[in-house]
Amino acid sequence: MSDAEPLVYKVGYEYRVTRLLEKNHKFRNQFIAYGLIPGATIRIKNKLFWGRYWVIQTQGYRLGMRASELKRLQLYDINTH
Amino acid sequence: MILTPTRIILVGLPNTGKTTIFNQITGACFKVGNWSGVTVDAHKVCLSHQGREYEIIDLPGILSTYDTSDQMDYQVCRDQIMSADVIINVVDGRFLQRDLVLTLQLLGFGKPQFSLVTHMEELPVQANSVFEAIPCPACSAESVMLRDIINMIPKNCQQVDIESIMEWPVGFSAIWKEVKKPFSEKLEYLVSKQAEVKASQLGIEEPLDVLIAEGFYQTAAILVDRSGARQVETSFHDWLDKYLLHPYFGVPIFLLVLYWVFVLTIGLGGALGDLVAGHLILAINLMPRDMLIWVIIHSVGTGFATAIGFVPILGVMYVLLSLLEQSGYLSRVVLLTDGLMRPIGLSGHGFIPMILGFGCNVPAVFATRAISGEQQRVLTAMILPFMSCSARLSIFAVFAAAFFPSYGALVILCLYCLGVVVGILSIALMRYALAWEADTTLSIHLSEYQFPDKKLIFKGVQIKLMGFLKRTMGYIVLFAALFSVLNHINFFFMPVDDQASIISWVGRNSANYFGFMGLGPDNWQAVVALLSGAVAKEIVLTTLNSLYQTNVVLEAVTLADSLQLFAEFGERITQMFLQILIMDGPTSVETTVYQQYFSVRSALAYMVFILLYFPCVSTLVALKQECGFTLAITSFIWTTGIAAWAAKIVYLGVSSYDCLLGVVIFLTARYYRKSRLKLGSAI
Repeated sequence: MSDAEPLVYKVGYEYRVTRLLEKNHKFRNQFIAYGLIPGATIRIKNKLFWGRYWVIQTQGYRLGMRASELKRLQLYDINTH
Repeated sequence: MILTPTRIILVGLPNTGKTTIFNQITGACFKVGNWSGVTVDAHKVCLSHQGREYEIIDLPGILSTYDTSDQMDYQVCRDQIMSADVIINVVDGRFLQRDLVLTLQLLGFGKPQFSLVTHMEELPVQANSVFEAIPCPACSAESVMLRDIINMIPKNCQQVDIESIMEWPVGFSAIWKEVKKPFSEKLEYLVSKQAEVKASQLGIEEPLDVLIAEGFYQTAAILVDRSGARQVETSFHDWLDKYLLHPYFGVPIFLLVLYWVFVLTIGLGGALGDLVAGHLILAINLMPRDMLIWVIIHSVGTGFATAIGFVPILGVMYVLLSLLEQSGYLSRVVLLTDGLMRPIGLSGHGFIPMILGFGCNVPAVFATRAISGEQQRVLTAMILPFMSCSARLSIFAVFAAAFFPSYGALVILCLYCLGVVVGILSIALMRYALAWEADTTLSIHLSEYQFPDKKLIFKGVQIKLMGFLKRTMGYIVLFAALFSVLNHINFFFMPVDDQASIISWVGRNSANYFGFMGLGPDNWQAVVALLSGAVAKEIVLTTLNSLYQTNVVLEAVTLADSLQLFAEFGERITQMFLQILIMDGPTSVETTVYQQYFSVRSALAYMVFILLYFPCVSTLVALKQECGFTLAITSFIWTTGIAAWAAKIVYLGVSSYDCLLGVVIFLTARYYRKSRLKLGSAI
């Protein structure tokens, strides 16, 4: 995914995690422990406050997170359009 | 020969039901909640069964067994797992694949292990074959007792060859085989920095911690797929989240829930508290008053009544928060409010305690216990004294009506805003001085919706109230009783009226030092009222009226007024939803008397001082219990200092000394920050 085309998250769509962009050890471990690892599939469930907060589903449970945290995952759009 | 007890530990991901099972097995009453991070220390109970001793240990929830971060719960769990004789892995039946990841990691320790499955009804029938494939025996956690667990232990002496089960990512196997250590130690080594060097030598570009996690999740997925036990997601949670997290309806629904929490806690809880405390005061005042013994009984009784008055408020608050917690809605509240809190350096976790603080600071401080993260919890607790509680509102109402009759509501609103602003600036300064980093992640697990369990709620509230009674109530009674004694005796320990008491003497002699806010020897009564406000803000007006001798009695003092107390209780309940908006104004006698002792400016300075100085002894004791003695004392000194400074500015205006003081405070904070950064010891 090039920098010129940022990924647009859409509710109900699925994405695959390709990389963890987080470098901080503590927060990285938290992502990994939640199953947000390369190869994991996430589904966007809810969008809040004009995209500032998101609810995603991964490994069978829901996570709420800020947009800045979601951007620390490099995602690949796997939906058939 | 003394046999050592068999150590059985309960391990699992957060919020899987470990403590519930622990309480069930041992008959203990530890706190549970539908919320990650409820258990923060290991709980331990020793039991004996058929002549043998067993040590049952409930560990905090962990996300992995090889995380080398410095979080306390991981250290506790790793040490306990290493020393355990039997591992019971608690698995949530709703998230089999996710929980299998930890099951596989635990098998690497080579200890006898079996699984207790909660929410067994959510598991597909084929799930049994998953556990058989590992093999790791499993059974339902429902109604399991100690004897059932002990009966399972001898069957689990065989060790599982975890290496044969694991499916590692391509390319990872090379470095895995390279390291010659036991399974669990190998994991810890591979996520360490030394292993990075080895990995780069072997040409592995992907970080090892990611590859390890991928291996576990992949293995769990393969086990589930092969057994045909893949779980189908229910639509019930989707439906609820559709409305509760709706972009437009979500916040109004939340505000409605918040309104109910606030009204019931302060309205219902407060009314019950006043009813109970009022009857205690009645009982005390029935005694003849001309004896020293009456002074002591009255003082201790007043102290006890002050403390017991908090119990219904806390009880109602704990019930409501437990309902929100167990239903799964509380985690959504954090998400909905995080956006409001983040600009002021807090997270959504602190929103409900802050709102409760506008009713009463004591339950608000206790509510911070639910906040995960030590820094966030402390920051939230430190801002709470600046949230103007309902007791202060009654004082503001009287003064505003007496001195600002045309725009009293605006003055009170400005005072509230001032309190919030000063609170925000205070915690910003604190975070700067302590070099605490801003919390940059939220990543909160949204708990599953479930119907609250009445028994769990009752047990949880019982534990919390007992904790308050044991640890906090004694201090409140002590301080309130001490003040009351000093307010009724002279230096010869003879009972006197409050005009001639020790407290009045202190007020008269210290009034000169309050000239900066417009008080002096001609208004020493206001100084005494400030001292009485240290016990409880509710007493400030009573003290003022008593010392000004306005003959306005605000409390029932005869047996016949017991019915009056019940009538007032009934009235407060029926008007509960408007209670927070209704303020009792002063009588015309009070207005005239107050205008004799205060000017407009000194009245405003007095209100600002009451707004900002520490709320009451009860809040300080609660802070001590939740944040420690040092922070409680810091809060006391800081709030009182800020109150004096602000009151001085209101009465005398800003001077160059104020600017200098501001610079000194900032430079002190900066110096402290540099020292901490130098030591490298941010909390």
